[in-house]
Amino acid sequence: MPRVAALPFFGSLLVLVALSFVVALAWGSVPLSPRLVIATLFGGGDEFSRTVVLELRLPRALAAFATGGLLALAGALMQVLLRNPLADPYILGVSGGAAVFALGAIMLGLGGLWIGAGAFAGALTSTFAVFALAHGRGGWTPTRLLLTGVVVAAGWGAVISLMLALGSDGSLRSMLFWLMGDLSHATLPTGGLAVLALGIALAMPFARSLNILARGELQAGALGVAVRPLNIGLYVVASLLTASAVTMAGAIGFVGLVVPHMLRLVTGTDHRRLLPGAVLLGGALLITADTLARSVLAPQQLPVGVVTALIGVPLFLYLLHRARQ
Amino acid sequence: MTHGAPLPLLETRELSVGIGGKSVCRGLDLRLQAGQCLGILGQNGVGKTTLLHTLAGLRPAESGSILLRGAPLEQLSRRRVAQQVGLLMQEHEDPFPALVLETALVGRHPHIEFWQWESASDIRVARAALDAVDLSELETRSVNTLSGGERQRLGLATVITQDPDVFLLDEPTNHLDLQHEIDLLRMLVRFAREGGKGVAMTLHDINLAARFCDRLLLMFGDGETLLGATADILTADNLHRLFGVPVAAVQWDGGTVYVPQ
Repeated sequence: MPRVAALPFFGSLLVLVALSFVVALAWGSVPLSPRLVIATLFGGGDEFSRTVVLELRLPRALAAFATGGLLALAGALMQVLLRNPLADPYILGVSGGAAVFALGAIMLGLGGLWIGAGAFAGALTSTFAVFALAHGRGGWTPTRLLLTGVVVAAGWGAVISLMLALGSDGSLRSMLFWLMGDLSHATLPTGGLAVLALGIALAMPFARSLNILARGELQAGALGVAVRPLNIGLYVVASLLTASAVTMAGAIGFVGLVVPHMLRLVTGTDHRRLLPGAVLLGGALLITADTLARSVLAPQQLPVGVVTALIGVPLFLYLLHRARQ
Repeated sequence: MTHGAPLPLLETRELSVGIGGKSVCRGLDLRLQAGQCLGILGQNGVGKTTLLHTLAGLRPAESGSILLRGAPLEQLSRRRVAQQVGLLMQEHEDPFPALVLETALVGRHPHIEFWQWESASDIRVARAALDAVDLSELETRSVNTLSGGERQRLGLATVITQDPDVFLLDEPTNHLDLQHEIDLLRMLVRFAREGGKGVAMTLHDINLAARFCDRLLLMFGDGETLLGATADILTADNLHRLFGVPVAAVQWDGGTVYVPQ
């Protein structure tokens, strides 16, 4: 299996992020030239381009980047915590809890701020519930944590179905959009970007320990990793990252599961590359998906979660196919 | 204290270990000196693995103490313990398979500060370890393409890369063919004799234990153990009691061969 060296790896990811930003800022109901977009970003441009780029499109592109980065980083951490390649940020029920509270706010006819607050509260509630239930006597094992999380998530799923069945026709559409993930109400994501920066800053010093924890708790302990604090730290950080992503954009699927695997196929399993790489690729993927979501059938907007899967599935299958050869 | 015996690499005092309400050992006083090879024998389920994990500091003892060069193990950080004690486990988990060289290289973890990357000399150590277990040519293969015996040797290469004072090895000869088995045990004895390491390993083959270990710990279950020099301890009575079947000692070609009856 070929391994890409660090410089071309991060170089091409940064180019990808820059390109996706420029396209997102240039493309839309009023197309702008890339040159004008870049000039506007650096203080040039006219009043019209400043309004479109800086006030309309940039906050949304930044929100997409933050959400994608948060989900991909959370997915990479969750996969180590559970020692399971199928783990994604939502596997322990964080998004289910968030959805129930957010849909509750929508059903009550409350506005955007309340939906976000509800999502965050629901994500934290679910996080604490799973942690406490899985802990039991003598601490948790990855299997116990996984089973508890999956069962709690199934419980939230039933409540969500019930709410959809009982919801009024008026609120159904916004409930469905929330469930599939939607960035059309995005504002400047100061909090999300701060959580993303905090998450990567906390995780990077432990990236080499994560390489070893991924090989099992005993192996990690035998090589000098303090396993218990690291497990708890992973759980808290991954949950916080997921909660703030869900708060911003609803339950966008696929990014958190697949981005870490795409990177593993290209650059291997070293988390010192995987974690920052996940932030960049997850961000670029979601910006691109959101640009398509708002422009393919314009003026009709698609839920961005649908587009991430439509791009991600063939991309992932291609990489998997290439790696086998 | 200039003329006393050197501090043992690993020592237990009045060590009692139990698991699931069952006693593994009671009041065990064990000293592993530099240069020594200790074999641990016993039936399935008597707690050989549990004892090794306890000695590596991965699970608490019921009572008694474990000392590393005279320092109580529970007062040392996990990292310090891992600098001195290496553990080869029976099972290897690879949910995210890495390359063979990368997998050996994780053995350097306790020796590298958390902000540092593996240096060229760390990579040299890992390459030498792969060479020692005859895996050099598979360096760039993914671990999930290895055979059982190759994966076992890679596990050992990781411990050699770790370069501990004490090697705790849980059935190091698992999955190995005859040639690799003998090569590997010879190498471990050389680590002890020439490298001043201490080796403690669980084995199921009495003949290998008789040939390569200077001391043996017999574990009978229910916390009963017997520790002594190999020649003194391999008696017909002890072996019968240990394995539950009579074992004959046959003189052959100037040595003794143990055959179950």
